[in-house]
Formats: sequence, structure tokens, C-alpha cells
Amino acid sequence: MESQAATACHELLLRLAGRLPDRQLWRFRDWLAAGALDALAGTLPLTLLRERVGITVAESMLLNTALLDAGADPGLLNSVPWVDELDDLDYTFTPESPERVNTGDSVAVVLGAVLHGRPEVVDVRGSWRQHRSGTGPATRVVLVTSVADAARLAGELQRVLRALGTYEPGVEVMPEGIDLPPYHERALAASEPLLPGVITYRRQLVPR
Amino acid sequence: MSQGADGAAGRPGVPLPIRVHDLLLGFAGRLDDDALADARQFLASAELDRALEFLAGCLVAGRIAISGAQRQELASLFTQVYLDAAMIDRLMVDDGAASNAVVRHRFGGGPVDGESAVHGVAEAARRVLDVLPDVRSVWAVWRLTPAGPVSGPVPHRVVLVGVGPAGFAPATSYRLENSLRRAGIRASVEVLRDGAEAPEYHHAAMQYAAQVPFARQAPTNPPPVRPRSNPMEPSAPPSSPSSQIPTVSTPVSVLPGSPISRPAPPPTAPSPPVAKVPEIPVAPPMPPLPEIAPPGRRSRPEPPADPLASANPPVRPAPVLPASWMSEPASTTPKPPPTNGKAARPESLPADDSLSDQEKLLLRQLQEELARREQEESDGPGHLGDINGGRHGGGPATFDWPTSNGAPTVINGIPPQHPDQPR
Repeated sequence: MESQAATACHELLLRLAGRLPDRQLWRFRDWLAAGALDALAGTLPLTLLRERVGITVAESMLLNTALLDAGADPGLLNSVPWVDELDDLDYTFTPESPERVNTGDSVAVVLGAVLHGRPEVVDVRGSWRQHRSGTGPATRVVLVTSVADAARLAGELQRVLRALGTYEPGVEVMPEGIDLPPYHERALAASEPLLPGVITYRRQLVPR
Repeated sequence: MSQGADGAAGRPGVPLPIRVHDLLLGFAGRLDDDALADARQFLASAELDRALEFLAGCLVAGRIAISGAQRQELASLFTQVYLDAAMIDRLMVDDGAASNAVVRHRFGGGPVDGESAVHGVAEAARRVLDVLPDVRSVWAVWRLTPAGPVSGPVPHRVVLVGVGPAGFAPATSYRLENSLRRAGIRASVEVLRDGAEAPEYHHAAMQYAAQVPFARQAPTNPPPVRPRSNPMEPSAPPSSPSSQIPTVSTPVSVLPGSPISRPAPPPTAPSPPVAKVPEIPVAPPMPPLPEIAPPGRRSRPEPPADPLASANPPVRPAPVLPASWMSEPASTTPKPPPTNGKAARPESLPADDSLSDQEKLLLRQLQEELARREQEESDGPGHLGDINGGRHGGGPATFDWPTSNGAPTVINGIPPQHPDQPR
């Protein structure tokens, strides 16, 4: 069972999807999965400041809950600016890859093998993300709904995806019942089951 | 100076970025390649604190054991950049587990899916290699084994770069890696400084590395690190400073995967070209130089020994003149009209090649006519009157100045005087 700090940190990192660079986000999630909250306490606030990432009041509370006890500098935590509302997403989502090729989905096969029989997993879906400007390749976003151990599961799936060739994996493990940020709502709205017939998508999308 | 993990803490005179760079070299193959790349990016961006915190975070999260020397160096660096060293206490220190004897990697020099490790590297990194200073050599190899607890896919390309004393290792590593990444090539760029000892990981990689040719590269440049256990390697001195570079006799040519074709000699190669200058026979090309005439002179016919021979004047018979005319002193002979204010020299007349044959014939006829008339005058009137009268058919012997109205011409208020009239 994850600690309250780890749960808060996971939700914060979940909400930072699409706002922090993928290259840093997956790394922080990996650290959290490894229980290295103290490493995050020193690095995450500094990264938010240097990357000029503003957070909402709710996210600020998550930040304090997650990292204050882990040794984060209160001065740095208070320096992270607040924003009243988040900017529009820089990404669009599609159920299928715009660069679809007629090959087998080996990633889905491996993920299915890894997640098979896990009781905490509710749903696994997939979506493809493209930058709104149209630049850059489309990246796969794995959307997992879980009832427990979300941070650990995210770290595990990230390692699998990296071994399969996705250097900056986009694994979004969403604790069931949380208020989803816009990024995940839109990703789910443009998603398909990653393991057809294995897990039934039960989430009821709430239109914004 | 040791380069890498075993560097002792407190290295006087070594800049902090170089110390961090060397520390990162020691974790090659034990941290995942992206972690090293990110830390090097922070380092190249002058974010030493961020690089060190990131490194420590990766070590803690990955539960990667470090040696006592590495921990000491890390703690020293944390202190020097005013970081909280509390996280250092969480690092696992185990000299045995951190030794390279435990962490062994396999490298491959052959192609992977038909692609060699050097494929595309030179093209992708050309612009960066053109500007980065003192890059001595670039090598590439495939690593076949995973690195770190969150390893990326394998085989993974590793690029080994050797830089000289004027090179900037952190900047070279970051910029080269970034350049390759932008070109779609994922690779770890390990930059090794000339003269410094490299970790075992890099020695192992060099056993199978192939050289990447680039414009400034000298064919005799040594590899950034020498493989230690390559049985095929000839006996050669260890990685040496630039002054000893010419003594290295292409040790890489026998390595598996090394390119067959040698790169073109660079125009700015540091020392090897200087060492080879005495061997280049520069003297033989010199003798032909005198034979090469300037184009202007070459286009002309060869000048004759006698500059006047080309005129080919007709053989003029000796003038048959009366003895009186021939006996006159040279000063009394008819003189050609002055040229450019100077009278032609008398001796130039017989051989005056500027006259055509017709002119010479006329001149000869004139001389004969004058001689004939002189002969006739010897029996008649005076000399001057004879000339004037003779020219005009025997007119009066007075000087007639031509005027338009019959009046004498006035020059500067003075009427001209007869030459024979006393002034």
C-alpha cells in the first residue's frame, strides 16, 4: 500500500502529463515507483521552477503533501507559481496511430502478458498523441485504470515499454475515482481497448 | 589523472564540470543511457547542481551500488555546489558490486539489422564536429547488453569520442548526443579526454569499435581509449599526449569492425601532419620550376640570340658613292629625322631595321642622287644656291619665305630673318 505522500505525488505527476517534458516526467514517475521520494523532494520543485511550469492550488497542496515530509525545501515549494486555470492542451489524441503501418502490435502483446491476472487493474486502453502543431511523431499513450499501487504499476509498465523501444514512455495509471485532468479525459475519449476482449472498459466519461 | 569512477575526491586544479563529467563516465553501463545523457545535458547547461541531484536521484531510485571513492567524490561535489548531502547517505556503497568485474557488458562490432554502428553518425554529427574544438577521433560500437535498471532497448549504439586538451568534454558529449538525437540516432556519447585513463567499460567498448571518419580527423589519431584485452592488438604505447601521436602506428586497423578506408587527412590536424612534413619529398618538384616559363613569355617565340636578326634586312650593297661624299666625316652624312627629340645615332642607320625595304631603297637612291648632284656641282655655282635652285628647277638664289599675303610672317613681334642674315 502506497503512502499518502506517494499517492499524492503520483496524482501530481499524473496531472503534470503534457505539461512537463516526457523526458523528465517518466523519470520522476520511475523514481516514485522506486520509493525515492527524497530524490523527488530535491529535484521536482526545482524542475517546476526552471521549466516555468505553473500549478493549480490543488496541485500545490499535492506537492506539499508529497514532498514536504520527504525533505523538500519549503522555500522552493512556495516559489512554484500558481495558476488559476490550466492552459489548453498542446496535444490532440486519436484512437489509432496516424502513422499506422500494417504490422502486429507487439507492444500490446507484451503489455497483455504483463498485466494478465492483475486484480488491481481495471482497464487498459491505448491512444495516440500528436502535437497540435503537427510536428514530431505520434506517441502512444497507455491508459490504465487501477484501484491500487498506481505508482508502482506505472513504473513497471514504463520499464517494459522502454525495453521495447519507447524511450520516453507515456504510461498514465489513473487511480479509479479521481477527478481526471483534461489531458486524460481527452485521451480516454479518443482511446481504444489495448487488450480487446480481456478487460472491459467500465469508466463512465464525464463530459466537461 | 584518473578519468572516471575511481577519481579521488578533492582533485585540485580540476574544474568542477570536468569532475562531474569524469564521475558520470564511471557510471556508464550501470546507469541507463538516458540518465547519463540527461545529466550531461544539465552539466553542459552549467546546471551542476541539477546534474548532481539528478545523478544521485537515479542512483538512489535504481539502487545502484557505488564505490567508496565515488561516494566521496559525490559528497565533495555536493558540498562544493551547496547541495544538501542528506541524499548521499542513502546511496549504497559497495566496492565489490560497483567494480567493473561485476558489471560486464558485451559489445558488437558487426552490423545490427544490416546497419553498422558508424552508419549515419558522421553525417548527423558533421556540423557539430566542425565547430567543436580539439575532437581527435570518433568511434562507434553496438552494446548488446542492457544498462541500468530502466534500460532502453538493445542493441544500443555507443559513440566514443576522444578530445584533446583544448576540447570541452561535457559540451562535446551533450552537443554530439543532441545532434545525433535530432537526426534520429539514439546513442550514448562517451567523451574521453586525451591522456586520462578510461574506465573498463570504455576499454571493452573499444575492442569492437569502428572509427567514424570526419573531416578534421587525422588518420593517425589514436582512439580515445585503448582496449585492454584485445589479443589482436599490436603492442603500442598507451593513450598518449599529442606529442606522441605520430608514433602510434594505426593500432585500430586490426580491430574488428574498423573501417578499411582511411579518412582524408585533415587540414587542421594537430600534430601528425607536422611530424610528417620532413618525410614528404618536397625537393624533387623544385627542379622543373625553372623550366616552367611564365605564360606570357611562353607564348612568344624564343628570342633569337641576335635581337636584330629577325628584321632580316636585305643585304645592302656597299654604296658606290663618289669619293668626296664618302670621305666626309660621319657628322656630315645625311641624318634621319630626330625621333622623340633625339637624333638617331649614325651607327644605327645601316642596320636600321625599322625601315622597310622600299624605304631603304628610296634612301639609297636619294644618297646616290645627292652624290651625283654633288659631283655635278663641283663644276657649277655654290653649294647652297645650288641646292635651292636645284630643287626648284634652277630658280633665283634668294630665300623665299612662304606667306599667305606676301608679307613676311611675324613671330612674337619679330619678323623672321633669313638664316644667312646676321641678327
